[in-house]
Amino acid sequence: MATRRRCSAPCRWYRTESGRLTSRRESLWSRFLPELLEKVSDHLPVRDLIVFRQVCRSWRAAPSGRALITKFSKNHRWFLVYGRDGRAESSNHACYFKDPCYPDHWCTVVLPDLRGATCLVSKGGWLLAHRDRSLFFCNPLTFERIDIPGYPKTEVNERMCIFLSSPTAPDCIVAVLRCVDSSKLEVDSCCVGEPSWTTRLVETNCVWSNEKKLARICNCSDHDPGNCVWRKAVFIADAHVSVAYDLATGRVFSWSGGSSDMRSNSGRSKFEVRTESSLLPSGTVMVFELLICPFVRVKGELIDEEVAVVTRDQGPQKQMDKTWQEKLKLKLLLF
Amino acid sequence: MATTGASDGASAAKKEGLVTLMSGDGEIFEVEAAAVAALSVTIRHAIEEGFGDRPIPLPIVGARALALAVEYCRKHHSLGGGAGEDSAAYDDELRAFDHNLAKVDRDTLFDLIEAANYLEIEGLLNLMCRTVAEMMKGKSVEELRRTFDVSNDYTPEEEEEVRREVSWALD
Repeated sequence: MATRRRCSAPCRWYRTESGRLTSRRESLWSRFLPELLEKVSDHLPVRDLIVFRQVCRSWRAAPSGRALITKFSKNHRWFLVYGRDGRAESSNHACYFKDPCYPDHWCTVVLPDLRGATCLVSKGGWLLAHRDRSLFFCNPLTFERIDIPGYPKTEVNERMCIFLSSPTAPDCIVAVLRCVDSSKLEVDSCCVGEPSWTTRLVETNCVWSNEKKLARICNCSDHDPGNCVWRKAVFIADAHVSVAYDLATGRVFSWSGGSSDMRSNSGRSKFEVRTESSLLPSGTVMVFELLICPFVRVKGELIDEEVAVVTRDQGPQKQMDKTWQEKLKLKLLLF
Repeated sequence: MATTGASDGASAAKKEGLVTLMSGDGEIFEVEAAAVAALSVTIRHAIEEGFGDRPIPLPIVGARALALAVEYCRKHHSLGGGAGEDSAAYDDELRAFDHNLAKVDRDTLFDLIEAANYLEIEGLLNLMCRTVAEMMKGKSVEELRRTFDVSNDYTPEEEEEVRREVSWALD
């Protein structure tokens, strides 16, 4: 490099030829105040943020809530903590990324979309969230948002939600399920590409042992959709009964045997569990997502699983940090 | 703008409900106190501290940026959108106004961000920072350096570390 220029040149005001007041010497932007650089970079998707930090020293040295993000492991699912600053007057809507492998790696990410929203389920970097009678997808890495207008129900609290592929795929289906009684399901579904919701009452021909505790809902992983005949099906199971419902054809299959049988039938599958946890502070909602590899068919036991958690917490941050992981571990043992 | 004009600030007659602002380059603006005080924390504090009857000096805000900031305050105050885009009053008219305001050249954008920061006009600051971020999206490092006229001041070793981060993102 021929010259080395420092970005933090002292500010001196003078008039340009046009009479404008400026401190421009070579570049206004290389001496931008660090806190302003931070405010700008908070609006950048992760990929653009990393490019931004490559530009020059002062841009890289500017504070950023996501400065540590490149230290995150890509081999594990991350946690997203949201809803801490649900207050209406709050202006920054901060959420937090957490790498489960490194207790010290936290990133703050500004996600106005999640203000006052409830995350229902996560998959492939996307969150499906609910707010004010509408469902929407939100990607906390790219800041993309996809609305699904016209959801017919006012609340989703007692319902299980799932989406079958990335919402950017034209045939992605969103389904919201609720047990009507011990054998019937109410299924609201909608294709993201052409949002118009249909509601069906599905007779499953089986009897849930406890319809309030349908523990698992999943569909085949989108890793190799071509090979899976269940591609557009959702699987629902409690400890004793399993049901597959094909959203494309409306066909229902049920069999006795709980979730372990379902695993072997569905091969490589994704299990998503939504639960209200009594172990975490009130108002906490957690979404668990378990990836189970086909090996389970051979060995008959879980040998590989990954877990993603979306938690909504209204407790003080300090308290949460200390006890969170412990509780999480405890909670995972329950499944 | 009827109430804006360069005049001798010291001798300007005090008018009811107006406050006098003096830009860093010495231009005088007479503006509705209620509008600017509602949106600018800095000016609200200056008025509360008794600056209301003499020109409020704004040393790092240039006249052009101040004029635009004042226009922003007026518009948002009159349409009740003081809290920025999170406000319930943030309607199509304000959205269109903001959209137009953001169509300034890069240097004006820069001045406006510094002005909004100094004047503590949160909605304007947020709008302008988002506008800059939109300009940055999808660009390569070289394009960013060209667009914003910033030179590469990394040592080769530092650059190597920075490149590792990029490969993490593209991986």
